[in-house]
Amino acid sequence: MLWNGIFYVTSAIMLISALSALFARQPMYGGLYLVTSMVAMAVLYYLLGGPFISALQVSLYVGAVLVLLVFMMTMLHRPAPRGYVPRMNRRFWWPMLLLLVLLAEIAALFATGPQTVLPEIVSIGPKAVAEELFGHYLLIVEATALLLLAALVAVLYLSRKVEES
Amino acid sequence: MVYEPTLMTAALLFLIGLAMVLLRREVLFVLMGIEVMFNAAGLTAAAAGQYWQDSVGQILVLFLMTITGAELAVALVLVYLAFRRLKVTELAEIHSLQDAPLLGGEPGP
Repeated sequence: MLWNGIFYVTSAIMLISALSALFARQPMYGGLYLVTSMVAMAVLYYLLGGPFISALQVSLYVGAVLVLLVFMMTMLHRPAPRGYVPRMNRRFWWPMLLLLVLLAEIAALFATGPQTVLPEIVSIGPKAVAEELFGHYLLIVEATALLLLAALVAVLYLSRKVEES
Repeated sequence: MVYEPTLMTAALLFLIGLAMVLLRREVLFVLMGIEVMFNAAGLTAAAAGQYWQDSVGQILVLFLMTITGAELAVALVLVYLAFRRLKVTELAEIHSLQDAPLLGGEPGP
């Protein structure tokens, strides 16, 4: 019961803060709401039995991705460009219609589908994850390292061109 | 534990991220929307890992985080380049590749 309570409260916090980020005026406020949403997501990961990815969610998303975004916000300092809030014109209503149709589909799907009750939550610790990661999925880890190296080279190259011009 | 509320939360979060991509015009908010959508996908993967009580879901989340980091770094440098060269922060204003006379009409909103 306690698990359910924490789960629903955390889900509500995550959804509300993501929704607030959608309607935020300043990018910095949007970033703050995004941080709240991601920390709530870390709690959800923990509740779903993944302490390792919960820690990684905090250190990677909140620690690295959000710092990158905030860094870029300070670089792109531009006082209040037009159209911060989604305006109610033709370009607003068509995507909104598509989103509402998607929302109705999701509601219909979950209202009519069968409810699957799991026995209980089992904590899957870092050891099990690491054994799979460096045993069965070793090749993909290497491929990811290659991808990160490619991203590093691309970023360095692009930012060097900025300095020259 | 009931499995559906987790999936429903992930679906709603994905929808919010999609709304951020579709409705906002600033590049930074579009990138944030993509992050939110990645988060929703990760939540689905973690829930699926718990469904089968296996560590593969967590491994998928791990790769998802890594790839998100790489994607965001490159995307942010491109945003910065667009700001430096074109002095724009909105998506609709980046239209220097557009063939204006053929399309006709005004290029952006």
